[in-house]
Amino acid sequence: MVILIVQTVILALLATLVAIWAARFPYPTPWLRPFLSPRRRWPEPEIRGWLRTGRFHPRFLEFFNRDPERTPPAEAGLVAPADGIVTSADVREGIRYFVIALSFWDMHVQRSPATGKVVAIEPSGDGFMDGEGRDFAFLREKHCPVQTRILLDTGEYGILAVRLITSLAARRIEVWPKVGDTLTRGQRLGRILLGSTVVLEMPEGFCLCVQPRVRVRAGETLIAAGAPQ
Amino acid sequence: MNTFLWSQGHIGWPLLAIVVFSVLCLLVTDAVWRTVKTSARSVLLSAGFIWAMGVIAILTISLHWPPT
Repeated sequence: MVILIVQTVILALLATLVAIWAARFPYPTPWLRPFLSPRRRWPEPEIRGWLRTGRFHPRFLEFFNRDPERTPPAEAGLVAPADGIVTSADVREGIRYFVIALSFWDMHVQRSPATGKVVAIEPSGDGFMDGEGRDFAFLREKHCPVQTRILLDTGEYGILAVRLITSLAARRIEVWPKVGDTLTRGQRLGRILLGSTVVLEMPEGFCLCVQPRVRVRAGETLIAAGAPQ
Repeated sequence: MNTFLWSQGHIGWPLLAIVVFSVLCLLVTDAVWRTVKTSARSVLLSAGFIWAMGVIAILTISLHWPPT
């Protein structure tokens, strides 16, 4: 009788595991999540499902809201304003648009690319990006993605602008400094909540240290060295 | 094999072993599929082969148990 009870307990335990696995599939089971990389721990379809329902996995929110310390490099130059992949660094009308695409798994706190004074904070846009791609979507003369443009007077490097752009996913931007504040290089600028793109506008003459498709880290990766030519 | 399903007032050990092994195979396969960069087809084929070998081993052992 004791053996039968033990066997029944074992079978019940196994049935529970299989039931949890089947209920979660194709997403990972709770006991497997801690051992997976963030991208596999919270797959994109699952995050998009949470966006529709507005109910997020608490661990994902904790991960998403992380705000680690960053140490700017010793070399002079501009540091990346955001974590993510550089998608383009093209020049239009004398301005280089350095576009960084953020994924759901990137750290979403943006940092100042250089020491300077905030001279303007310009929110704009009443729509959202429509999935046509990230490069220069913010310049199209159609529905403008929600964005906030922060202008920095850096003195040595001239006027820089950092655009925080949201996406279809969510339209919320937090900017922490106020006009007139002086920021140090690598200081926190703000946060895009489930956003997608950060664009740094800089003078054309900078010598870029990174190329498109390279991953950069906010406040740590040197993206442009020296002063503009 | 008469004792495969039921033996002396409890579930047969071979049957229990096969159930436990199958569930473990399923969960380990899922974990491997999520952690190793390979195609789902190759993971499924490998898991199926390992599962079949395991079941054959359990049946073989149960047929020749206790060892003489």
